[in-house]
Amino acid sequence: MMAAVLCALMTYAGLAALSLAMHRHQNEVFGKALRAGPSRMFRYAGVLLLAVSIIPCVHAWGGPIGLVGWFGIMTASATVLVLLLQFAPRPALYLCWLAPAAALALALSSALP
Amino acid sequence: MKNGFRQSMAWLHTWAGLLVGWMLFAIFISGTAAYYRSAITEWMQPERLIGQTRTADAGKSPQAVAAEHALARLAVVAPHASRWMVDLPDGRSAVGEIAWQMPGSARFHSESVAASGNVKVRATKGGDFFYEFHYRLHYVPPLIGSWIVSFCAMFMLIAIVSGVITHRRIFADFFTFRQGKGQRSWLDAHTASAVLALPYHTMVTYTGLVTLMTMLMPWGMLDRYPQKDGGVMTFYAEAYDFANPAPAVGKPATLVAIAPLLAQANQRFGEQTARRIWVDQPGDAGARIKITRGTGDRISISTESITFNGVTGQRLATYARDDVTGQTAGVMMGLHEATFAPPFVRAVYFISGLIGALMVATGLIMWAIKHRQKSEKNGRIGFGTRLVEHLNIAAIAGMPIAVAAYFWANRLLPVDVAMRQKLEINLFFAVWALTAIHPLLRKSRRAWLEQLFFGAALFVLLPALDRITVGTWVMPSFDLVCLGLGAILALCALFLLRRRSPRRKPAAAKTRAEPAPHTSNHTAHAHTPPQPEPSTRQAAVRHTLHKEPTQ
Repeated sequence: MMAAVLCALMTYAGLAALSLAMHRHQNEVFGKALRAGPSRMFRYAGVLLLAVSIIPCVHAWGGPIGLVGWFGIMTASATVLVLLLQFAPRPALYLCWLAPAAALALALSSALP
Repeated sequence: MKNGFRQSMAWLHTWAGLLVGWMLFAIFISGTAAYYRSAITEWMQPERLIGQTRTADAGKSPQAVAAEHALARLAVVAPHASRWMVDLPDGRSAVGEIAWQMPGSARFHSESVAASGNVKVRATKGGDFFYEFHYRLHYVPPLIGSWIVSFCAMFMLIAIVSGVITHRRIFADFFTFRQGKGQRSWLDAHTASAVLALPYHTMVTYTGLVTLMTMLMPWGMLDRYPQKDGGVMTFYAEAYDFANPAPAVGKPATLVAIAPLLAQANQRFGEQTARRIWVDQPGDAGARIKITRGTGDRISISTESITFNGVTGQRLATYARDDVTGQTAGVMMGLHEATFAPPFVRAVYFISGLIGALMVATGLIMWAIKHRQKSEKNGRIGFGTRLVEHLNIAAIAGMPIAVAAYFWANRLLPVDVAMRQKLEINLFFAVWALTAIHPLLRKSRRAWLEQLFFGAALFVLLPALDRITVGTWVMPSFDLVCLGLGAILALCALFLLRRRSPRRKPAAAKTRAEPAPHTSNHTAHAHTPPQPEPSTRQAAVRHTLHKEPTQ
């Protein structure tokens, strides 16, 4: 359950970063198009986050079911992202920070006795 | 040439989608509901959830208690059956299912039984209704129903492939949904719902076809299993571990105790993973008992089983398909039915299913809008456009009402009424038929609004009805999902209401401000040849102005 939530937040952040590599969504969120450098950073960050986000799924459910779940979770978080980008672009950005925060909380809770 | 190809794909996508769209919507909704079929059955038999006292017999697993209980029940209701079947309750549900088949008949009669105790439950088909409707419809012979569904699934696959080619900007528009832009928004909603769940749509359509493969592509099987060697029945026995019961010997004998056999099976399969018990010729000296494995935590549904002598309890045969072909088929069917899915994965399956229904619905609505605009230009609205609009309302707004009505019927019909199970299902279809008649008496927009609000009200009030008729919320998660579905329907209705208000002006301004590439793509999609930019802009403006009086 926690793993699934973490995966959802990570895929959300990853997809959001990918969308922020595109001019249209930069306009929606920042009000202006970014230069090539930051755009590229967003793209790399997005790919990296998506690649890493499968780890909690596989950890929780094993390889095959983890893969199926990962695809499904990605669909769900992409849907949330698309709706937020249209109706609340700024909160769409803030929600990204939940992923590292949740990961940190999880790491702490497992490290502490 | 490229343009020609894309245009022909667009044609294919439009008509393949339209022809079976309404069926696909119903299939998507019923299939999505079927992911939770045991939960739905549980909710529809609240007696089981309220009066649950798990009396643990000393030294016996709850599974063995449930099995004994189910077999005792079968001995009462169907002592002369040629085959009994018991679906044992698994971790997800406390509902066991029994079914029996009379000699010389292919039909199974089924009934739910409590896992333990003697709770009297109301008769209902529960979630199995959606499951069966999903692949073989209702009121038509199962084989014909399956053929219709297969036909629709084939068209769905065609629509998916041609759709990816047609809507070529799906990846550039990956995260894009622009509201309040008329047809453009519908297109956005259609492509977004398609592309965001594309892995699911492709998987579920293809694996759905795989579950029907012996009907759709029987030639390999027919060639390999000629009639003289027993034909398809041999194939079923080898591939699916399925065989008809052997004839009875004719000498009465007592059935062996089930608990030790279950223990043997669980030892082989893993704790608590035995899932189904088949008893052939119960009460006869030639009785056979077969216990099959549930999926447990594997994706594959491919079977494993042990067969016992029903009188002596001696182990006769074991069956397992762990070869590559068997596992491939098993994994595909497992992926389709999501039998393996842990709660969170099941939830994303459910969400993806709803998104699939949304994709079909937006596609159908887009067709209607496009053709209405076209025919308004011509001055008269043709029968085809009217028909599509009408069917859209009955399918998209009507089906949810029918689903809600099915749940309402379950709570409102007297518990002991005769033929209760059938009555609920008949009510489902009666209500659906009414939603198909209703648009005849109303203007299109009014019919949409009334049906959407009515459906929303039915779903939102369902928890209240549950509370009043049963006295408690038997399954809060079910109620929460109902509230969610009601909210979605209400949002759709509110969206429609808002579009009535004079809000077209800013939208028109925005259309004009739209950068050229999008506009030209938009027109390209509408099958008009690409035009130079300024005239396209004027066309867009004229377009909006033209729509003004009708909005």
